[in-house]
Amino acid sequence: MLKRTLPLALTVFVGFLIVFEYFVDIPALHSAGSAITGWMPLIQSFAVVTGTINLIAVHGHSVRTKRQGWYYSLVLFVFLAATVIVGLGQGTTVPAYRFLYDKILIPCSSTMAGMTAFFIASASYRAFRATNTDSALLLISAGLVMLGRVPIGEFVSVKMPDVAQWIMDIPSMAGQRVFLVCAGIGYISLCLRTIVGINRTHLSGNE
Amino acid sequence: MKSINPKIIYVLILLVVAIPLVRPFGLPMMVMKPTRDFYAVVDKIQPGDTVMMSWDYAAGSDVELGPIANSLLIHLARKDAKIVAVSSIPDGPMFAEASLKVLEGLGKVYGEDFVNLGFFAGGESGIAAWAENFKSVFRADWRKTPVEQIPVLKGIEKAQDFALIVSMNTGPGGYGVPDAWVRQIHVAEKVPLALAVTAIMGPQTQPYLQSGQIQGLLIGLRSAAEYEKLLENPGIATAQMDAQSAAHAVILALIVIGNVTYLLDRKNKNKGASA
Amino acid sequence: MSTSPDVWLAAFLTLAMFSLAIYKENPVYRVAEHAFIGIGAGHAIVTGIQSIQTSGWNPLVKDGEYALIIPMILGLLLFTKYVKPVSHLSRITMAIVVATGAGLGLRGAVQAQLLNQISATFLSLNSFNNLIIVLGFVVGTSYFLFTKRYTRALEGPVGILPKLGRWFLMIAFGASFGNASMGFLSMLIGRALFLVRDWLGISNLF
Repeated sequence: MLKRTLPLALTVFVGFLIVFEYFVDIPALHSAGSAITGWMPLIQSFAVVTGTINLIAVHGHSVRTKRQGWYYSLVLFVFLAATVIVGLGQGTTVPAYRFLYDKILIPCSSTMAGMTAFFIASASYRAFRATNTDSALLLISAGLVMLGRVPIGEFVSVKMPDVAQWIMDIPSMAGQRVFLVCAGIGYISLCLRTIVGINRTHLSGNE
Repeated sequence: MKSINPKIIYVLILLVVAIPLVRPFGLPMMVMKPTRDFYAVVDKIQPGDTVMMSWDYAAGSDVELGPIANSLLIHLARKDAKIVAVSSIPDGPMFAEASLKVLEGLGKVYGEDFVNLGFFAGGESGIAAWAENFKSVFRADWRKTPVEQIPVLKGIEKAQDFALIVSMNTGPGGYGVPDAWVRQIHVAEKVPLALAVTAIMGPQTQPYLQSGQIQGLLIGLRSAAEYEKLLENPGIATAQMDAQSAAHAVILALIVIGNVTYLLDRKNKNKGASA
Repeated sequence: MSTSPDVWLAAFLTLAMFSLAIYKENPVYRVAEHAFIGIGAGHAIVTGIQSIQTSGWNPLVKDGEYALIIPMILGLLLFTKYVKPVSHLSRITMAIVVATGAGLGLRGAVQAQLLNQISATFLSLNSFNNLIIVLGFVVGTSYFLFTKRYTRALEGPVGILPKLGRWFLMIAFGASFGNASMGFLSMLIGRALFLVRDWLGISNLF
């Protein structure tokens, strides 16, 4: 009962409540819906913290069992602990915290993201081939957008930015709308399946 | 035909982006309609109006969205608007703090003209929660001052108290994705919403602009540079556009070389097969 | 060249990360990688706890807002996920969180992602652009009809519709790729700018 039925009943009850309180003008219903919605940021603040537990568990296990490269996990714990101690002790606006964030996290994190440009460049050479009509269209569209969105495109032809903008505003937008609507239908059906209790993935595991 | 070692391509790209940063070419760039439209939306803000800006991005997107945030702050400061900064992802407040220094440089006073309320958890649920009851979610700012003591928040009770809400959004991986902002701010609250997104997110956000569900859309570094031009305040985004040009020229050249190599290989293969 | 140790540290870490792509995985890269993951996780913990403090603990304990005890307990129940004998209790919170998200999403998505998108598509056919938008959407959608009843109807001469639809989708993918390359290059340019301007001091830019 407590393991499955209660959570399922809660899903159905809360889901219907949130939907109905928006469309039906009953003050009591609206108050209940607002209260539950109002709890969400607080509840999910806990989720932000629990989200790191898996990471800690995996690296903790690595250190405990002295798995290959365990000392890297130790590095992780040192920086995690330093961040938590400074952040909770002195706040996130103090120079020590900004140092950890600005001088260590930002350079590493943004370089990691920036390295994707290498792979994009390499993929452009290796995989971006016009082998049939579909791939030719993809290539032409990408090429024109790439050229038209940077000043060199304008240097090549003053019409180039307009061409790129037109591709993005008209045919690409129509194609993107297809994805948006199809994904929307999928999302709506997922929400409905959750609310009526068919989709129970959030209740699985933890037996 | 022998292909180029990927590491050579990596080094080439790194050098190609570095050269224009050392010696810029200063290529001219026109301002496109979406940026002009966005500018017009911000320009309509009246003195004293309160605008919410949400820093929904982390380190990887700061290069693109940071300059947009700075330009919007300068524009809003010129309009004498009050600014409320929030973030739907934990990293957002760190970038908001950095961007808001622009306002201090323009003589604006923290707490009176602008405030950083920090992170709100819950993504879409979080947006829905503060949209209906602002102070139930935001009880203190990022510097831990209770909201009752912050003058700029006087009279702010719900989303409808904002003249405009702008989300600077990194997209999936974040908590409050653009779709969530549209659903909760435009559809549920009917408050004017504008989005500034990374270039990667641009195309998929465009249907919202064409359908009129968002008032404006800025896409990546190009829009950031255009906005700087409109403000007549060339900054970091403008400075990086030459590097973009050089890198794209190389990428396009790589695409051409790749395709020519492919066609020649195919031709040779066909010749070999027929012989 | 910069004389600031902070800038040197950030430059060293930037180069350490680049070494993964340009050289190969190496101990310096792995130390940098683990350091930033540690700070990232630490930052999430700090932000989460601060958020709990300001919007839950303080109003509950200092201001006597006792109604907040419910979300506080629900939040704490999330931790039971890691305590085997009572791990099922976390489902109570998950049920409420997921149901609220689904309810909120449902009531907004129908209008934002369906009705408003469709009504914005069917424009009067008085211009070439409008025609392309309507055509692109209709044929693009036809590509996603997988049910036999409909795919059968798309056989013969009308079979061109999903094919045409795929072309529109390819144009959209192409535009996405073009933008993605610009986005990723921006990130790289950001780091290159830091190296040449802030660290080496050889940039002519301000």
